Amino acid sequence: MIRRPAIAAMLLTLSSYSLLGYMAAFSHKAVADPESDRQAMRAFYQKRFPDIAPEAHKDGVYAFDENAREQWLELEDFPPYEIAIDEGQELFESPLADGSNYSDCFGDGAVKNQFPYFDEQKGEVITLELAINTCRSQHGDQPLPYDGAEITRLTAYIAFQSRGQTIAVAEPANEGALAAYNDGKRFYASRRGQLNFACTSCHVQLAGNRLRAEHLSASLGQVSHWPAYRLKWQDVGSLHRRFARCIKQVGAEPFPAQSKEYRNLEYFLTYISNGLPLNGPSIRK
Amino acid sequence: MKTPNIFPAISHVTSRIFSYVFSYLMAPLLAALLLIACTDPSTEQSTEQSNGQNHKQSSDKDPALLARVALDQAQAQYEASRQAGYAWARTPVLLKSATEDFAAGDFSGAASTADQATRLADASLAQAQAEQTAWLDRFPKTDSSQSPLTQLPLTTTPANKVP
Repeated sequence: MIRRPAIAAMLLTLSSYSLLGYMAAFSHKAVADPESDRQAMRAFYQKRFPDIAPEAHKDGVYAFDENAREQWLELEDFPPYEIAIDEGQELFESPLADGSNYSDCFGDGAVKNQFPYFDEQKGEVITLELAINTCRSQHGDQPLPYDGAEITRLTAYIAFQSRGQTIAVAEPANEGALAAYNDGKRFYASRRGQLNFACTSCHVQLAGNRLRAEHLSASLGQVSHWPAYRLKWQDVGSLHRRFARCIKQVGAEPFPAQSKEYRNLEYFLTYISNGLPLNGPSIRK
Repeated sequence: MKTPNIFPAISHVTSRIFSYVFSYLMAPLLAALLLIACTDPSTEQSTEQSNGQNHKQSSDKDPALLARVALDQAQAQYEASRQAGYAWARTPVLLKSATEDFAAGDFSGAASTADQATRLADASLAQAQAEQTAWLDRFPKTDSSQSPLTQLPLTTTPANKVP
């Protein structure tokens, strides 16, 4: 006969093991470092798309949808974003309030691979758009609205100048950078809106499948080609505008462009795309 | 010849039957009756009140005041969902509609629409709560054996022929 103290001891031991196991599992999830995340994502997509090199995902769905790729390449013969690049160049070379211009901040404009980064002093992620407005403020000009045409044309020109550069975001090392990275990662995987969808629902779990008539792209390379001329918009738009559209599509309330949420999300997505070439501006449906 | 004593056997069978009948029929019935008897009608009312339905049933109160309360409650819940970063797009649309109804003097319509907004905001807050930890399992891991992520199969064949 088993005595009561023995039963109690057994239960205590079992619950301790369960607790330890849970803590181990949870801590494993929590401490996954950014480089492990990046490697895991690349391995995941390589397994899912065995015939496609991870770098090819810079073209989004056109990496694996042959028919769509043909149409896309035809559009690229006379790209509708060309006007935006020209206008962006004009703005880039125009004098700011103190007579200087953007080249004082960004040289020849081939700087896209330097963004986003985590600024330790400011304690936040700095995107190209933020840097443009900082440059304007430093030279006595008013900041541009983040959802406006002017800033998008400037980024289109900078993206064009930066074509062929490799995405190389420094691994988030300090506490603040890691927090921003994890915040972006959490955003990407959190279900939102009335449809209860996370970004990962479509772009990880269902990547390569169709949503109505369109293929769903992989997470790798989602940031490489912005700003993009979307046929739906009939204009060049920013990555954050696309984020907002996605969020709205699942029935959630979108955040404003260059909000902390979107900048952290961009930081996470850009880090996991490290090693892919920049190929913006581009065309998307 | 001695007659076998069958009374203990009959008694045993009877007690088993009674036991089964009591366990499977009577006990649940009694429990249900007890539950109904113990239910305080005021509890039901308070539950409905918490759902913001009280103004519909309390016709003796000022409808404008009830609509105002419903609107304030919806606004507060919506603000809470925004603070959590999980607001739903439909909630402010309903809030706007409720405010317009209120301004037009349609207090019943305003209260009803505000209740819908409150329910949406409540659901989005529940989503925010659930996502505190649920998101952690939605990424592939380096060691796939530790990954609980379900990789859904490709239902369409990608071309895979792009050079």
